[in-house]
Amino acid sequence: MKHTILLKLSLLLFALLFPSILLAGSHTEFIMPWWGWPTILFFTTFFIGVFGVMAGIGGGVLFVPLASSFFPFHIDFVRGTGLFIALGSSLAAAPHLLDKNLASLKLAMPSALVASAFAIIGAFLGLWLSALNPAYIQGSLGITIIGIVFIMLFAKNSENPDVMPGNYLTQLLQINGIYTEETTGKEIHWTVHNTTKGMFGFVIVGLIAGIFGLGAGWANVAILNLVMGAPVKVAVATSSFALSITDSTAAWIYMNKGAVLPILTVPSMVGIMIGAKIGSKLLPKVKPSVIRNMVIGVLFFAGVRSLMKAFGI
Amino acid sequence: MQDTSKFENASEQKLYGRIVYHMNHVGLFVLVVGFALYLTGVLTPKIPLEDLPQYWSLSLDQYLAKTGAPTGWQWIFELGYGDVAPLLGVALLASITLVCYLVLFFQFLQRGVKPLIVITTIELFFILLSASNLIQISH
Repeated sequence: MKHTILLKLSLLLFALLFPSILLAGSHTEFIMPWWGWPTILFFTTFFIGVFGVMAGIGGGVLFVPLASSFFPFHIDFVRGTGLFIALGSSLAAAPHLLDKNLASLKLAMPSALVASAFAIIGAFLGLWLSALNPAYIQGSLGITIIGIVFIMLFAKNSENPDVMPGNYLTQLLQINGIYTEETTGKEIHWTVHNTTKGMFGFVIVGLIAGIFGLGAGWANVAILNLVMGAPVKVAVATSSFALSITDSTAAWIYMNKGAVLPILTVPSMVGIMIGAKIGSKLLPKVKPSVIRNMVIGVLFFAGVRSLMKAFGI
Repeated sequence: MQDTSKFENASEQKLYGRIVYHMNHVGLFVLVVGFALYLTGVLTPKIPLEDLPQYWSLSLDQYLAKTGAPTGWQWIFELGYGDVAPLLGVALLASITLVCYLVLFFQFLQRGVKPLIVITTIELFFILLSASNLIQISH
């Protein structure tokens, strides 16, 4: 009952705030006190937290296109905040996931190593491109977000993929583990294959994380599950945890370059964390597929808006 | 029968989780306290709050040129300003992975797991490199 009321309240607030977010994308100048936009940002990130958890989509991927397209903040500060949102969410989830053996340190370490190295290159590339012309970043962000929408729509995860044993890198790094499937109480033994191919995938993940300030969890899961054959639960949990490693290098670079504005970063981090907590409580009461489709719709809309903004439309 | 001895989770991962748990709480506390001192005016900001809308839509280069906001590790010497104080919490949160990997490094060294020692060392190098502000690009 309490959860249903909370859900209705969230939807009502979302409906009330959504028009103001849309108006923000227009060229109309609003006279607003200094606290106006940070307050709207707080509520927006709160809803990103609520709906992101229910849809199984990370906060960063929703935050960066929405905040860069519909808010007056420069995309450099939005990307810096996006990285800290992804970092904060990952750090909050990591202890539980590691304790339950759902996230695997041995699987996360090599993949995060590749991704974090390329996130450094991505961060510098992103800042350089943005200094040349922010439209380069805004436009490529739009294209990337639309690409992510299609991946989310068409990539179907496999619960327990068949894995061919004998991969050299897998054996060398002993990438395997056990977790207990709570619905059946069975112990699941898993390992991975195609490790080298997977590592190439993490090159892209790192670059995207650094260039756009996105968490890139959507890509991690696809690589870990579909390419490397990790069970979907392990892939999702390891991806959530590995973001804290991947994003830490790029986050330091954005911070060192002065692209972290506390007036954006703190309300966003707090908003998304509170939202994610409420979202996880509401989760049993909602149909994740409905919410997921709704969030994918918003993401597509944000991607198109980002692309339009790049062309000055 | 499957040989379960081949399927072991890293024994270090519970320790890693505990460090993240405690450091995350400390980092968030410092972040929120720093932000509260900023918003309430207890610490005077370098840029007055009411002037912020003039700056947040500028590009990073323009913003730095107009405000003289700290880059690199300069923020440590400017923590007395309200808009710089929250960066202490931000830096603590960004440092969690570094601390965890330092602990992992010594754990793996003790156990003599060479591949994981190599991975940990390279990761530490990358994190320290990015945190050090040693890499610079010119436009």
